[in-house]
Amino acid sequence: MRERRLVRYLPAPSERMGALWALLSLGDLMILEYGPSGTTHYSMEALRSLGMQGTRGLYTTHMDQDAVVMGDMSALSSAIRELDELHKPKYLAVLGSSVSSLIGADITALCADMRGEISARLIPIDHCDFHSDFSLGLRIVMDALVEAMAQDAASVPGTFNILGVSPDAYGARDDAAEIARLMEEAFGWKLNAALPWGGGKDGFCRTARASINLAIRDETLPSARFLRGKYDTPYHSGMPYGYKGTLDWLEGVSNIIGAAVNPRVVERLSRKAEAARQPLMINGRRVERFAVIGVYPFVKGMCGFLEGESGLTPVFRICSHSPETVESPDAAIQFLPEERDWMEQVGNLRDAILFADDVSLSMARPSVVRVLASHPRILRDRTDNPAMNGYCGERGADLLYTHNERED
Amino acid sequence: MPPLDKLSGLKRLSGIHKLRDIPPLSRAIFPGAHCPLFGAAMVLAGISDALALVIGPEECTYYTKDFTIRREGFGGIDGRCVSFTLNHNDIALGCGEALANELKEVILERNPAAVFLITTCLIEITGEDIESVGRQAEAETGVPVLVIHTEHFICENHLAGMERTLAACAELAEPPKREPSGVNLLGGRLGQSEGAELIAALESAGARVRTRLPSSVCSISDLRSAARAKANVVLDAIALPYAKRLKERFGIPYVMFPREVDPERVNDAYAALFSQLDAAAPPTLAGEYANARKKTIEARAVLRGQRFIYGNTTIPAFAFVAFLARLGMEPVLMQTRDWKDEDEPLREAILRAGFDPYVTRSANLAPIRALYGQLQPRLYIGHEDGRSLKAQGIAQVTSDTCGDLAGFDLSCAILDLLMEAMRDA
Repeated sequence: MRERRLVRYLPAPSERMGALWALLSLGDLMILEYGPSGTTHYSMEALRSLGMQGTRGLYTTHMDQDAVVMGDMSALSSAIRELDELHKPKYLAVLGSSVSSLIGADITALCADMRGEISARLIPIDHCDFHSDFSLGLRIVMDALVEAMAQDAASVPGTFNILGVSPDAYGARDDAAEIARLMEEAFGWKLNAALPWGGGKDGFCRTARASINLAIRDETLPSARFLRGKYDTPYHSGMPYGYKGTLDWLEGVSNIIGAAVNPRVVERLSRKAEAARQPLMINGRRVERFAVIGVYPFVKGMCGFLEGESGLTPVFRICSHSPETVESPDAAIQFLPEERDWMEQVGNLRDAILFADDVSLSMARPSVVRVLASHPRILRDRTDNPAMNGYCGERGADLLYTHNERED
Repeated sequence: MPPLDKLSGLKRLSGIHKLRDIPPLSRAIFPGAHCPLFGAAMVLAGISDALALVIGPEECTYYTKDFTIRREGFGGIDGRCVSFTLNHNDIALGCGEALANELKEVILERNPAAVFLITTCLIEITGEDIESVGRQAEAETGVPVLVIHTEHFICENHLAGMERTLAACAELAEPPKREPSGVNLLGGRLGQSEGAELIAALESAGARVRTRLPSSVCSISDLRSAARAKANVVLDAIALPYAKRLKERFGIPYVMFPREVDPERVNDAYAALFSQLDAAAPPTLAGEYANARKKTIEARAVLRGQRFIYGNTTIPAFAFVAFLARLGMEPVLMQTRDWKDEDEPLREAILRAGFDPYVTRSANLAPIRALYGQLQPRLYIGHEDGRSLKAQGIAQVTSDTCGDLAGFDLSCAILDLLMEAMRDA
């Protein structure tokens, strides 16, 4: 059977797109793209739909025929020198493009060659397109930034980092805020840095101060292991979903940090977990089946919650990116690279609740309760409000159950 | 950033005669020019039953689809834009066969009136023969397939994509079977109500408007019958290759009617237009002309001596700046995305008015922001972050609300916007 190549809707974003989104999410990192300027300009249009505002610190070299045909990289070296001289950035991320990858421009070598003459620490990221998707882009950026920017420091007791807060996950900042709230209430611990989105450059520099790293995306496990190897900082992997799931997650953290979960939190989550076992009623209809599409930890976590705690029956569980970055992927979760395959499953779904992106939701039948919980989110116009809600933790479960009209 | 050093690196208008004379303000630019792929998508939004198939990496295809979902006229998520997303095998081994298969499949599935195969930088570098894929599909399905090349490393900006897409449409025109009548309006970026004054003037002179390319009411069928027009009216230079091709193929004359602000030039354009059509201008235009002149005189009293930066609007840069210079406004910096031979008289007019502004290319806002303090403009005309301008006490005027206007309507609307900005400043 031939491979289906036509994409009628939105293709899975590439690793370069994921890398650029992760870099931009710092908000204060200087980034220089080596590629045609059209992609830079174009990318700005989509950022609002991811909940990001602004592109401060983003520059491009543009590429002309000399660069493409002759391999002349002088535009890149000149731009690096100029930014270094004019802005004196401490760090400068140099991001390749599909064109620079195709012609074999060695950005890493150029950055190494320029190290002696440039004050800024150059961070080359030239692994762009043709290989994988946005999930790998997040991993590449986390690896590069943690290695380049983390500074030696004594760990501060009672503090933690969240690794993997990334704009490619719907409601990622809400989720990070919920995790910070849970850590504060359960253990009295304070957030040191949410990375990459929220912490900025300073957050990466202060990474070593945390007493534990909470790796909420598998893409950040290599960074967590790097920090454990270099600073002896322990890490915990996974993301809390559902009431019991959140309690289990807190117990997992508790085992590592050696502090007990606040009994008040245990009591409350246990009580809510019990209540969640009742049938889920939405818009006057009892919902018994569900389906989920999204990034891996969301799909895994929501399935655990809805199936394990609420007793709903899963119809399908689809991860929106390649399993390449997932350690020990759950066999029940599908990775469907071809659009037709997930379109067919969404089209066949009936009498269920669907947590998914705007494209998938647009295809769902009327009998499906539709919940926007993944990207892509489609902004209809410039006035559209990109506010989002994550579904992780106690608050995420509450969000679902505020819609629930209990059967009396 | 040391602005004075940068300013000294800039050239003034008097020392510039072509686009290449304009030195880049910086090597690192932001945001940079839009690419021709974007321009092609803009035009195809205005051909209501054409299918766009973008051939490129995820980045190009994703952002184009995202744009078309939000752009009126493409039909939203299920709309008229689909992609063939390149993988590493396509890059190394070619993708002609796979593309041909998918193209035929989508033609059968959607039954479009025509397909536009839009290339991107990558597929241009690998040298895939997209034309032969298009010819094969056209022969097998009977649906016209046109190829638009959009390699950004050769083109300056998105205008090249708009121009090429319009030019490709000229090949769809069929020989007229009846006596030519009416006119086509070409190159506008018009909504349904665009050019109301111009259209009313044409129709009252007996020249029915046939095809508006691109527009929300333009279809492939309209493009097939475009050669039935007696003349083509070109609203923007991006449509000149289309008009020239129709002249070459069918002998249809064309006349320029650029979207300009200066009432004198608008009046001249109307005169040239009706002369070409061999028709008398409708008497109502005289009243519109007088009204626009009156507004110009009133505006001059308020605007004289005000310093401004010209950024990027949909109105040709030199004509706009020359008009404001005629009002006594002082251009301190103008940004431009192109430079045509026809601009030379306007360049001279700006210099004759006693002004010699710095000139730089558009789409590089970052280093320009550092110059505001030195240049001290009162007004910024074009797109820029309103908060940055406000923080520096600079009023802003964009022409976004005038996208549907042409003729004296446009003159009056722009003058109103300028006056309003000065009142609010």
